[in-house]
Amino acid sequence: MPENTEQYQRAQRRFELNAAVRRSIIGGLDLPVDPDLVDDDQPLFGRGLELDSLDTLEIVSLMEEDFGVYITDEQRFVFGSVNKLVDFAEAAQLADNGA
Amino acid sequence: MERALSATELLQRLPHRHPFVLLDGLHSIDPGVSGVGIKNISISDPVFAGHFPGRPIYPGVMMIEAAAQACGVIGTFTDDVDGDQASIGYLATVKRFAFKELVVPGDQLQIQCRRHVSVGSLIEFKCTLTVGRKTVAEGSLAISVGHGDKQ
Repeated sequence: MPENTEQYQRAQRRFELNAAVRRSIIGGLDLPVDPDLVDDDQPLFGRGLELDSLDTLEIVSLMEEDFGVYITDEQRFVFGSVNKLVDFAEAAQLADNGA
Repeated sequence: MERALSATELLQRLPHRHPFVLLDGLHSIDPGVSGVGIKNISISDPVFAGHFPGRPIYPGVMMIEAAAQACGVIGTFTDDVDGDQASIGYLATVKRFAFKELVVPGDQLQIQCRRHVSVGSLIEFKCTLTVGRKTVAEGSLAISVGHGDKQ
């Protein structure tokens, strides 16, 4: 795919955002895991990264501090995986930009 | 309408009893969001018998507990204190508390608590403890709101 196409640049931005969210969560929660080894669809809770309910508070804080988006109680489904968090962050950022 | 609670009114909302009721008052209450706890530090507090003999210094861990009690009341506040749905706030996490000044008998602690984030039954508060105009401690703690018998 040519690097100057909009599609390529969108994919590149998504790739970088996924990596940034992984780094934020792994670093913020001080998990003994290499961020690059976490699958973007891997469950964050239970048998995935084995996070628990107390970690949700930290993820809400991290997403607000690092990406400027706030997860409300009604949006708790986004804690499912890195991809769901990034989907939410992209949609929230687009909404904030009036797109 | 500003909501405020005296020491006696706090006993209706806290499950704690002597010697572990650490608040003398709570004012500027915005239910679920913020409030300011009052803690008067007295030389007659039994904690000073051991912390430390001849050099009374109020323990940091007691300041965290006082802040937790304030956050518990703020987080579970309802105007219907006798209602069947009365809740208790259990201390869930303590993060990045720092103690900047010594607190001694004669001081009055003002414990400012403000909700930072919340998810489900968990509420995290940022707390700033001051004596006069000086910040003596600050940090974050979370409470888990649960139901329970307050007696």
